[in-house]
Amino acid sequence: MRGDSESSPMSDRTVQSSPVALPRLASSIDVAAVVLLALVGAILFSLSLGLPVAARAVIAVPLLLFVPGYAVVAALYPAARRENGTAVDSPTAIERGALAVGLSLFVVPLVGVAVDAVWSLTLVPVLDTVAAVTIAAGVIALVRRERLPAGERFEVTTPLRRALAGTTERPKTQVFLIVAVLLSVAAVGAGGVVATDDSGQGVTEFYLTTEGPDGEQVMATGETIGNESVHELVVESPARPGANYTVVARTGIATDRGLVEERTLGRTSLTLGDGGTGTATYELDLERGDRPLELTYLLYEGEPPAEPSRENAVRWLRVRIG
Amino acid sequence: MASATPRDRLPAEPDLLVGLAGLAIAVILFPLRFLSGQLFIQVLPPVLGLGSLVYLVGRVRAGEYERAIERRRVGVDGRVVAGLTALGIGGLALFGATAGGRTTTFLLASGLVGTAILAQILFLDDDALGPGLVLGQLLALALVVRFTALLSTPGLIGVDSWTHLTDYAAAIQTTDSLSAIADVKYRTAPLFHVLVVIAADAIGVGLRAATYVSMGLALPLSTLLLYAIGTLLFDRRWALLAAGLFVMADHVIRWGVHIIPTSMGLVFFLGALAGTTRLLAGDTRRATYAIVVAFGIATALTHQISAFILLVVLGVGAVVGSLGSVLPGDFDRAGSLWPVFALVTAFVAALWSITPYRDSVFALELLDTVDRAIATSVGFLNLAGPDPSGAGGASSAAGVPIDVAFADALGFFALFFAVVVGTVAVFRRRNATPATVTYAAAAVVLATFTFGLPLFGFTTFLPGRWYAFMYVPMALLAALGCRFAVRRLSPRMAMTGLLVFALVVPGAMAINHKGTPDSPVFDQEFPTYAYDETELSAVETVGATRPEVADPIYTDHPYRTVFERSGATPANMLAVEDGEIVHDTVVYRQYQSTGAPVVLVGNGSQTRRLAPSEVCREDMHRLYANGNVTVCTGIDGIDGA
Repeated sequence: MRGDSESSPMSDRTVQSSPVALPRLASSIDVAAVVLLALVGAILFSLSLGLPVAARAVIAVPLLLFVPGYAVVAALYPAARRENGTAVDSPTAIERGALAVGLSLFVVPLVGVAVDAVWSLTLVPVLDTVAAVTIAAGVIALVRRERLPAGERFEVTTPLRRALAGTTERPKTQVFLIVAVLLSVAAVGAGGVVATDDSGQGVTEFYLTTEGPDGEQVMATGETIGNESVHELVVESPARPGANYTVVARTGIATDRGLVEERTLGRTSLTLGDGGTGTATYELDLERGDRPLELTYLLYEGEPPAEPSRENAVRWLRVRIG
Repeated sequence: MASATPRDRLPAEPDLLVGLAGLAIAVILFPLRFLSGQLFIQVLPPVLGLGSLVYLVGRVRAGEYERAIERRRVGVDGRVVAGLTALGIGGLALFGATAGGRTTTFLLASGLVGTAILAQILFLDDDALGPGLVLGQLLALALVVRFTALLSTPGLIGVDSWTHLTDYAAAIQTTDSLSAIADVKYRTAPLFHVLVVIAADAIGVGLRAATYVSMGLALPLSTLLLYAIGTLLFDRRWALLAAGLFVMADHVIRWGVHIIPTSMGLVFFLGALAGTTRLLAGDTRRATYAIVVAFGIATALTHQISAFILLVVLGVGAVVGSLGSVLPGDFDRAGSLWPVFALVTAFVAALWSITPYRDSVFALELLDTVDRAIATSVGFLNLAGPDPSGAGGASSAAGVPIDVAFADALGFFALFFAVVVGTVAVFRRRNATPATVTYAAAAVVLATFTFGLPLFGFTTFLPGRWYAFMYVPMALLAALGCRFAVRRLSPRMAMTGLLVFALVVPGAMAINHKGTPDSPVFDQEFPTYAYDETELSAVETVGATRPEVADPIYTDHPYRTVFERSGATPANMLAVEDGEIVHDTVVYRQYQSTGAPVVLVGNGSQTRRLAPSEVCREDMHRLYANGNVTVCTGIDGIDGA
């Protein structure tokens, strides 16, 4: 800035003559808080305490999205208002918060890249380094704030006081607002629980595998399906371990008029294991005769009906043997 | 006698000149509608003309109605309105969760809540308007809208997200090293992937959840950066309006649900512009330069297109600053953007020169691509639009009926109208500042990249990615346009106009297909880029059981992208040739009969619904079924094994 002395309430001489004393609480509490958070986070994650996911999220989210960025912003802008030579006030509390989020998104992965370059991209060294950066920025912020006259330092309590000042007026509307916000938060929380609930029936998959070229079971292909194949039918329903199913195998001759000479080859019952998977194996040795032959596998929950068909099966597969 | 400066030689009222120029450009562009049926070519010139005309009418009647509407503001307690809106947001969250996602009703309801917030900003009096309360509502609405989509959609939303999480980030997490992505262009732009991996490790969740908890939260919060920019330009009311318009914008929502490096690039872009606005406002502390450079480097280390867009805006700002002597506004106190532009450009150039891309480096490939695009595809109106004289009449580029395309883009048109008014208003001497003039120029340049270059068939810079970035200056200018309406138009006209604006923009933006990739309202026209449990289970099982070496499977777009990008198995788009689909292995899902699947027909891709028997023919093996998805294989010429 080109010498806007009128807009600056502080001269260079003031800056130089200000002694560096112990920081006042109001002008240091925000920086102290983020430094503490960074330290606590780094220590907790270093100790591998086996914390539950919710607790880890409560600690990690501010650590990743706010803490290091806030310390950097505090170091960059120690003043509450305009400083020597500037025509614009320092960032407000909201702007600091917004910049903190943006800068944290930069600092954390950048630290990760740096750690990866000298070590490996693992959590503890990354969080320790993030904590170190936060502490360093925090110390710079406190020193720079202390060098300013007391009235010019950024104090997080000032905007907080301002924000709370009007809350004592019209207590009824204030109560209404608080109740509305609490209800809203409860509704959002309930919505989150409902949205993430996966206690439904899940998916039931039914598919045919055969032995692949390397001996492993693979999804069947034309070359592995034939007169003398072993068909492994897999039922997967991870949400239903222990469920009983029946596979009915039927054949028929495919004609222009549809299937003729349909008959049941066999039926197999299976129970899904703990992982929700069960298999039924058919060793086929089909007689050479009328072709094309159509082989249909029908899947039923529990017992099949008297006349099994595609329409009443829960799933069905088809193999054409030409 | 002192000689006149160039600024003294400016017309006394440059805004009137710009307004007339806007009208003239609209008249010149108007006949383009007879050459192309492209919706934006049909609509934008008239909107430009109308916006310019409204401004000129308001200016000509200057003084007659000045600030009359401000005396008609509503004096109710802001906390009561905020409380009611908060209840609406809570209800919206519950409704979305129980409805299983962002249904049309949910989206329209979210638009109504958005209208309630915009109405507060526009119509509450100064005492009742609490910035904290309004920002809280905006952030809460933004979070509910985005997280309803994120949490109710199994898997990921979008196309690229699958690559970034299931491929790149997963590889980094598995190896604990960035060397896992050494061969791709994100080797030098890894911040997104590293953040996601760190978040996943720290919280102890999967990459999907980690992305939502980190970037998913950060994106709505970045709206505060736009508010901060706004407060440096004008009163808090208009800063709030800019923030509201931005957070409700379709493409901004898009990057909040389809979370990829572009999303992170948008946050850094906002940060860089927050610093830039400070510089232009006269905050020339080294700290402010450092902020701009830091966010510039962050953008470069995250996403190439975002970095390019930022360079364009910084370049525009630098040029505008150099032309300050011939522009309205006091540029004497503004900091120069040339140093930061030069520094960030140098960093980007150096980075791109070592960024692997295809068989070369990114910088050379970019130059080569631009060169080829200029040589092969550039020609006026060389765009993928239908002939307006065709049997179907006017239509959108993708063959979407014109009424649907118009409804889909209505929010953008309403915003564009306000932007036109605001852009002209910037050039009034009392409104012109280095920052506002820079944003006006940036909006014009970004719009040129987004709309102008594609007119010539030049899409190398992926114009679709520019919208969200362009919305930053657009939201600011639209707020300025609304301020002009309040101050210069008759109270009745301003009240009506702003009410319509507040009613239309949130709802229309909410239903735009770009902001609803998980659940487009016009689901017969626009593909859904999200999948249910059955579709994802099929991908997983097919991937796990396909032979090691297998020919591609064939299915619709976008479903094929999940197979490919999740690494399950190679996949191509279904092709209809002579009315038939003939592939070895096909994957059918019910969406192909009920939604907007994209398949190849002849040489091009188009939305086309298919019967189950067209895909899985009776003469094929049917080898997999899960109630929705089936996998069929032809009898002859079977692949694999």
